Amino acid sequence: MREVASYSRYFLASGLICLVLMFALPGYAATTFEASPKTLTVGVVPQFDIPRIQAIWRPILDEMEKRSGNKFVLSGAATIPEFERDLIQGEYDLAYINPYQVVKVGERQGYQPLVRDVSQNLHGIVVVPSNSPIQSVEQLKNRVVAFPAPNALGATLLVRAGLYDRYGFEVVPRYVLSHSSVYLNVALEEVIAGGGVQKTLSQQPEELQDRLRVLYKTDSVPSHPVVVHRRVPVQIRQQLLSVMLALGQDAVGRDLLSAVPIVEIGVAKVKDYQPLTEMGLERFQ
Amino acid sequence: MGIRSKLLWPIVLAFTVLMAVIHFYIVPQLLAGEKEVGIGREHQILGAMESGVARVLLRGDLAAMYAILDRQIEARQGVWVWLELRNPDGKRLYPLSDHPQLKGEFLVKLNQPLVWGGAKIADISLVVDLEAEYLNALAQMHNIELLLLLVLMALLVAGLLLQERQIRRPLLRLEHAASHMAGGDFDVQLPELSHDEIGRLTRVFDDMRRDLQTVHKGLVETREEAEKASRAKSEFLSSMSHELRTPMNAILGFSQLLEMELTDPENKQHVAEIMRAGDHLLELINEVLDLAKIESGKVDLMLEDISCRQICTESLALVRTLAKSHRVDVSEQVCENMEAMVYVDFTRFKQVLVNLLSNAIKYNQSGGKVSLSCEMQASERLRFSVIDTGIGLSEAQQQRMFNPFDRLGAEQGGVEGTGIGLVIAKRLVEAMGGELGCQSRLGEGSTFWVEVEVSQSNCMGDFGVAEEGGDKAESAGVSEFRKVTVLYVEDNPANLRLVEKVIGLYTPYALMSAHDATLGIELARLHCPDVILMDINLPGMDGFTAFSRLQNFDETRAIPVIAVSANAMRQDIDRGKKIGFADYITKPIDMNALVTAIEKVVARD
Repeated sequence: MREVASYSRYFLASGLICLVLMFALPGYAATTFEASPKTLTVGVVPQFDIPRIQAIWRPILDEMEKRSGNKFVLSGAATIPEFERDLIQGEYDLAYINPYQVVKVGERQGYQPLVRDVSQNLHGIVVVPSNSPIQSVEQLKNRVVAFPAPNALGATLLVRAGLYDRYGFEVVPRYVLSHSSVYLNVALEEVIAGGGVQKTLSQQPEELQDRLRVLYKTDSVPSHPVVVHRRVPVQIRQQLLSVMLALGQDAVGRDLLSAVPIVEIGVAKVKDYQPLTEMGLERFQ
Repeated sequence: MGIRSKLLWPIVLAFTVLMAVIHFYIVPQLLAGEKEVGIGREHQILGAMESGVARVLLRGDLAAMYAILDRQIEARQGVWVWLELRNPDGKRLYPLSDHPQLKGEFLVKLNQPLVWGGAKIADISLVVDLEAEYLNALAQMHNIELLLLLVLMALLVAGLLLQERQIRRPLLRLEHAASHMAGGDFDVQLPELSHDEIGRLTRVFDDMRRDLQTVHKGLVETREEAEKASRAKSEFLSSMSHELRTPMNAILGFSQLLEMELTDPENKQHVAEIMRAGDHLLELINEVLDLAKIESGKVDLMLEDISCRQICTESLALVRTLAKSHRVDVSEQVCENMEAMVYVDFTRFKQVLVNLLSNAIKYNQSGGKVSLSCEMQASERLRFSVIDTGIGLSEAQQQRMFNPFDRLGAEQGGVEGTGIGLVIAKRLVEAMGGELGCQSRLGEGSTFWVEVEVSQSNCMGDFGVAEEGGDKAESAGVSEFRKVTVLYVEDNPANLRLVEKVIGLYTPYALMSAHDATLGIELARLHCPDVILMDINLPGMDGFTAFSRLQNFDETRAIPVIAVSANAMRQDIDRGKKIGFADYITKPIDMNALVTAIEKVVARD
């Protein structure tokens, strides 16, 4: 009997321990998840090749890791279509995308603008060779004009929408894959004109810039934002916002951001990008 | 040129040619090849880039094209100094900037059309600068050349050292050994033995040295033995000459006295037989000694220019008595060459002719004829021929004619002879550079001839004296004697007695005698004799020394001295005449000759 009683006591003790464990462990796990630094997947629109993107963004992310305690994995697609596909599928926790992508896929997939360069807005330009006889944008009607890609916001969509909405004519687009190619094609007179953005034009070599003249400038839209997915906890979103804004407050951060380039980092709102929806840019895709 | 130079110069020449070929032909070829390779490589790089450029160009992605080309130019920095791409219309699409001024020796322009889908879409022209590559290759080549030169120099030095050690030094040692061996020194060090040709040569040389050493040792021993034997023979000859002649002197001398004193014709006949046999024995002894001397090469010849006439006259005079006794008519056929001079030893040549003439007389028939003639040969030699009307010689006899002691069967006849006279004659003639021969037919007589060299100088000799001498010799016994004093220095009592008797009986001379040289000199100084007869082999002081002592005194210096000696060797006679003896009489003394000699000296005074 003594043995049976003793066994029963052990059994009860074991059952109690198991119960305690059953309730305690998940709770412990949950608190650990909330408190531990989160690992976030970061995507960057491939305006440049991957090594260059890595060179610009990895130091920024490293700095943010240091300041926030979170981990950032820079995952990238080689081409814009691939990137957009990944974006649609919600692959990234954090992403640097173009304004049109914000209105096209961002909201639908639950991406919210976090920060952007508030110092300058994005607008498209039309360039012609500096010695070109063309003085008015109307002279481009039905002529072949070079553009980087069909979806390029500033260089293609804003320009084409502007020409059509303001002057009422279309041009024959010729896509030459990059802004630099547009400028070269124009400078070498392979085409009579090309669409670009001021920011990329100013990045071209002096020699090339000297051979180009800006013929037309479109209305502006807000510049590229960093967006964050809604699944990222609010605290972390807040933390990320404050860390990124803090980058703009000191020399080290500003220096890092200038490579993007972001001159003055500020808060981005969904409504900033609302006008883009109204422009009906999908007409030109 | 030494073996080292012979090796060195061809190798240096070969190395120089090799280096010249490498430097002036192979290196430029290799550099040209390097250039070709460089151009080919740049073409390849250009080709590898082509499709990428074409693809982006067709898409109008000029930026990508610029990126590709810029990247490539950067990658080929320093080599691709200019690259431009033009569309088919000639418009330049790359680069934006203009063609800079390019300078350099090693610039090469490459043109490559850019083709896509069979159509030319652009032209690429590339200027590459291969200077760095060329200079690099050149530096490498020079380094290789330098290395090769060093290796060649090292090889050359090593080769020379090896040659010095393996070839030259052993050869020099062999040469040194050979020169020592030539001097009779066989105990020299030879090079170390190796397994090559030099080693084999050394081994063979060593074998040869051993053989030579053995042979040389044998030769030296043989020579020493031969010299010893020769000395013994000479001593024996000299001794025999003296020992045999001295008793013969007494035998013949006293026989002569006995013959004069005897009145009984029979006894006189017996003594004459003794004298004849004695003469023959003396002749035999003389000839044997003569032959022995000739055989041993010790015959001394005094070659001089003698006229043919003198030789003929004197030779004939010497055999006339013999001819008379054999009743053989001897005639001298005087020919035009009688005045010619020949270069011979007068006495010895006369001996040869006398031998031939006496043979011709002795082996002639009674009433036969013998003639002596001489004639000039086409070979500029003078031939003396002795022609007889004797029995002649058969072919077989002629073949054996010059064998010593072979008298060709004459020993059975009554004619005396030694069988070596002709051999001596032949050897003497040959020693004088002449030739002796014979033509003969059995039953018809023989012709013996001697050919000798004609004298170079053609001066005439005075043969009158000899002729007179010959006459006087003939008439010695009947000469008119004058009262003069003769001193005879002689230790042999027999000889002394003999001469005393002859002088006392047959001459008007007064004779005094001394038994040794010292007494002889004293007597000479005291009495100043007209003539001194001096024996050579005297006890104590010999005749030569005594003579020179006499020359030292004023009172004796002018006295003529006649040597009288058993030393009948030629060198003795020559020596005697050379130091100043008035005459030299050999023992056994021929009384006639002695009297003649004294008479001649007295007459000269």
